[in-house]
Amino acid sequence: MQLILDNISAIMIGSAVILIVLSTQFQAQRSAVEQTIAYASKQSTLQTGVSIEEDLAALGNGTADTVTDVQTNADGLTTVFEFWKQDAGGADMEVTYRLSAGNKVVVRGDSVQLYTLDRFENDVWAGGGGERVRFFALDMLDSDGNVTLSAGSARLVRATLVNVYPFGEDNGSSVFQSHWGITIRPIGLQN
Amino acid sequence: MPQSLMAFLAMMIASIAAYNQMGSKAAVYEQMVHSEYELMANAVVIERMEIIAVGTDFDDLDDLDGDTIVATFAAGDLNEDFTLTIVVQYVDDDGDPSGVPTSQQEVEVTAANDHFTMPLVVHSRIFSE
Repeated sequence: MQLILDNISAIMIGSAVILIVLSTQFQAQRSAVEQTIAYASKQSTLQTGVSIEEDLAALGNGTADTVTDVQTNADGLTTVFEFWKQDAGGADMEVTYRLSAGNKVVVRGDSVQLYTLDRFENDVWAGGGGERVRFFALDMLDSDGNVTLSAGSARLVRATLVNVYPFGEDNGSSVFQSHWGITIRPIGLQN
Repeated sequence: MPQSLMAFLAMMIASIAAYNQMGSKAAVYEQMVHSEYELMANAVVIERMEIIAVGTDFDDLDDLDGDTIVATFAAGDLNEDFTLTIVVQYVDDDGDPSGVPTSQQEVEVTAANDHFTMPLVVHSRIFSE
């Protein structure tokens, strides 16, 4: 007891130093995890973006039809976008992007709806999946940049995608959002 | 006395390490946010450039010189405004600015955002007559 009382100051200061070091180490580890998640999120978003960009660039090029079906939900997300393009062999192919609601996650008390984006070729699943999408929209624009629902007056297609990667649990949870967008001028829409 | 000095030194080193860690973390967050804004700015600049490409005759391009437009990256609840500045100038066959009208004009669109001092993205494209 006497030994403890004699060195009480040293013990308190030593404990404080250890706590500071441990806290710093914990913060460094969390930061490293967040960076990894952010990198993975961005990579995933950009890869999806490149696929959409390549798809839309070939929209209606050499085919009889262009955009045949566009459906939007109440929140302004594109749930169905159907168009025609030629496959590698030169045959007409119907491509469909379909967005479906998945699970909800709670981030600091707020409910976040996640969606799955799937891609179909001639109604056969050809990629996508994973509940990573928070926002997805494919808007047709006329030559003035206004949104149009008519494929006949459309000259551009604007793609917007927001992927989310929630991490952590309960009150300590947060979500990393990765944004991407591009506007394409498909040859098939140039009259 | 030596014991107190050692304790003070230990506290100081631990505090400096913690401070550096916090600073490093803040810099990483800043970079992540900046990167996201760059991608959003890129989207609105490309959209503007394509609208110019399909909706403006070559002879009317120079009318856009000096225009400032507020463009919005909209995605659900997110509506982020970017200020786009358009510069149009005639260029020669080498892409260098020309003092006299030529058959080529370079359109440069710059995107800036209130959160950042410097412009985020600059795109340029040459249009031929």
